[in-house]
Amino acid sequence: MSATPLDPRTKRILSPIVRTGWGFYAVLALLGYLLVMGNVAWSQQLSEGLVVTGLTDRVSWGLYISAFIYFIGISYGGTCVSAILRLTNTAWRHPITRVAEASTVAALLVAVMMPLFDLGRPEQFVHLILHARLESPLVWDILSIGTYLAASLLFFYIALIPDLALLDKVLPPRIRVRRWFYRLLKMRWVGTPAQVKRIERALLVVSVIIIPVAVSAHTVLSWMFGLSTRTGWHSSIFGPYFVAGALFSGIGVVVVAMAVVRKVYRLQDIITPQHFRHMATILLVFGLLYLYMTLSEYLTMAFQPTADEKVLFDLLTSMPVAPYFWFSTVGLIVVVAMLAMPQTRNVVGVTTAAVLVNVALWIKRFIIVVPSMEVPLIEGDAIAVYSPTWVEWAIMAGSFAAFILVFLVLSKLVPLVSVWETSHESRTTADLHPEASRRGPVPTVGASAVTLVAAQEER
Amino acid sequence: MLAARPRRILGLLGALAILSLLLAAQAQANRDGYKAAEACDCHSEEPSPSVQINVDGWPTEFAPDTTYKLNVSASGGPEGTHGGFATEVTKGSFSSTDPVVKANDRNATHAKSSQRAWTIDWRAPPEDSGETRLVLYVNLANGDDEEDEEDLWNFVALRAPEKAPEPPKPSTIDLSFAGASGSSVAGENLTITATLRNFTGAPIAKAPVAFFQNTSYGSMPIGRTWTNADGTASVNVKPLAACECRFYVHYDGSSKNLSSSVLAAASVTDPNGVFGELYPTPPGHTFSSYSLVTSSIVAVVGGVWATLGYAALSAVRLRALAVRNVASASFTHKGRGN
Repeated sequence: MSATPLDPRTKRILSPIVRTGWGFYAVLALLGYLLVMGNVAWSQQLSEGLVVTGLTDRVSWGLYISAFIYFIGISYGGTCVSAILRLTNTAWRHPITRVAEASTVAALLVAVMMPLFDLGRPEQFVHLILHARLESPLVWDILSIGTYLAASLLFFYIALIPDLALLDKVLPPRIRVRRWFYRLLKMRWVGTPAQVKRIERALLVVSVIIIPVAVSAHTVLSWMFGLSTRTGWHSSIFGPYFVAGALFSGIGVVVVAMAVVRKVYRLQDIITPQHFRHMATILLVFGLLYLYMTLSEYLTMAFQPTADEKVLFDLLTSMPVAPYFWFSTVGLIVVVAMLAMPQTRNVVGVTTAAVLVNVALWIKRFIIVVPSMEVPLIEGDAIAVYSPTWVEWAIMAGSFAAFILVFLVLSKLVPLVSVWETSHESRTTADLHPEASRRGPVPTVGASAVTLVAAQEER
Repeated sequence: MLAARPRRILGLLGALAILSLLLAAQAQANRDGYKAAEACDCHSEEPSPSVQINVDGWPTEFAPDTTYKLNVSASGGPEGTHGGFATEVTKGSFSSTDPVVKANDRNATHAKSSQRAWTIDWRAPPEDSGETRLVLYVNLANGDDEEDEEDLWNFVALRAPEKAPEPPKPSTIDLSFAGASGSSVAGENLTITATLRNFTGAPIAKAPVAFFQNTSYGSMPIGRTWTNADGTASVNVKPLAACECRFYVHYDGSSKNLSSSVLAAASVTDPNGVFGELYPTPPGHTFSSYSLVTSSIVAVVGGVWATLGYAALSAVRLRALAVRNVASASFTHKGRGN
């Protein structure tokens, strides 16, 4: 069977799948090392119990639950970017939707591990199902996050089907296992009008359903805190506050992932500065919304505090928490300014802002969880102290490594830029940005491999 | 030759002089340590081997905190029944119920000089005190009320090492349960009684025992208390639900008794539905409304899953829509807005 020759752009998008450089193995080794260290730490925690962590009966939620909220949050950004842009049929969406969907899948897979770390005895997770009470937000959480994970995987998969068919067609015969995998999952895609119509309808349905599912997942997560009477958590604003924070950090992760994919795979003409400016605008909107809610939340607490709130506010604004607190609140004003100013609305500026957003939001999750648990529940009791141990930090490092590793593995299995969607985008981009077209072809490392494959196929 | 009356007066004066000297020696001894040898020097300068001192009851090895009755007697020396003694021990303490003995902590002496046998109680020091030494001086007088060389004295020095402790022996704990109304019922006090005994079956008194409840989440401390003279210790708990409650009691052991522990279960019933009273269904959640909430959640979640199922089915049905003769190059997106 003869294959249609691939255009240079497609070859470059597919090149990471067939070409593996030393950089890939170096990053793989580093991530593997962190993952092993994380597993060693988890093994110690499993054998000795939570006593090896800084968690106590007073502060039973620490790094793990903070990371849980963070990872659920960043998964939310990817889904919403992809789903909303699809629903609005935004023309520039195509090069970034796959990265956004992949970030959701990677983040969710890591996020669901966090409560298991926090449980201490993960096998007791089944108690949440066997003895589930529908009055408990924890049960709602399992339902919503489980549904969200299933919807995200489905969303990612359906949009991937045409590219799987393409991969099955163009990859060399020696890549047998992956080709078997692609053949199995491509659903006999050949791109007939009926198939295109069907897949678009399926994507539309999932796009519509996944947005409320994502909102519910993060709102329910906020209710785990907001429905308790603990100081700092018992707030009606927590639902939208969590959603805004999740979108802010999630879109930030998509931007960082875009920048990395663009740089490493040399897709500068596909993921253009214009894409970063669009994303900066979305980040800016959610940044302003998040700052507005932060102001509302802390002004309410600080203006007329109860005795417990005063203790909490003193904890937040005194050492050693104060620098982190101010960075994650007032410091974000600087980040938002970076997103607003024309001078910094370029690839480097927007990516830097996105990194800072994620650092700030990770700290923010820690500040939400831990200081509230340190406030004594009994009058006269001492303020509890939580200090994470190396076990928790190692598991954290392993979790972040796992998140990046999922991305890395996906980059070897599927194109991180949607080929079937960008083939249309290429025409539009050239029309919109003639200066990009005038620069000529971008260096195409690895393209020769695909070209060779295509040539072999033709022979 | 003096008449009988002046002789009696002289004798009385002599006795007073001896008594004064003995009291002075005792006073000196009380001030700055034992000076028995100096006191005896007043009678004769050197100890006399003719004075035989016998101390019955001094142990070859002493057991800590044990009282030994020491029977001190002396023979030989001048004829008569007059005599006195003074003794000092490096550890432990003296006491005596003998009216002719004065005991003061580590020192003891005679209260009257009209006899040559005395009884003293010595309480051995506590554990890990090491060796104890005792020195005992006895002076035998001829009764002429004069301090001269006819009064003879001698001394003995004894030592007793501490007896090596015996290895601790096994101990046992018996556990029993008693409900407030006879049986173990949720919401009522359940008394857990532990009886601690040594290897002979004798109760171990004043021993600390710790009570725990074993749960599926680990061992939960209930409390720590001490056994009474009968070797029993009790705590009260109030189970709030029917359970086969497992209780665990532990005794750390001592130098005499090995540690021991016991695990036993109490069958607690809940005929009054205490658990339901304590944790009632939330207000407003009557059976019907609870079902409504359940139905709503099931409907929403089920609807979402059904929609996802439809999307998944659409993906699967792509297989049926494949037409082989369609150009395989049609990878371009022909979506809306194109």
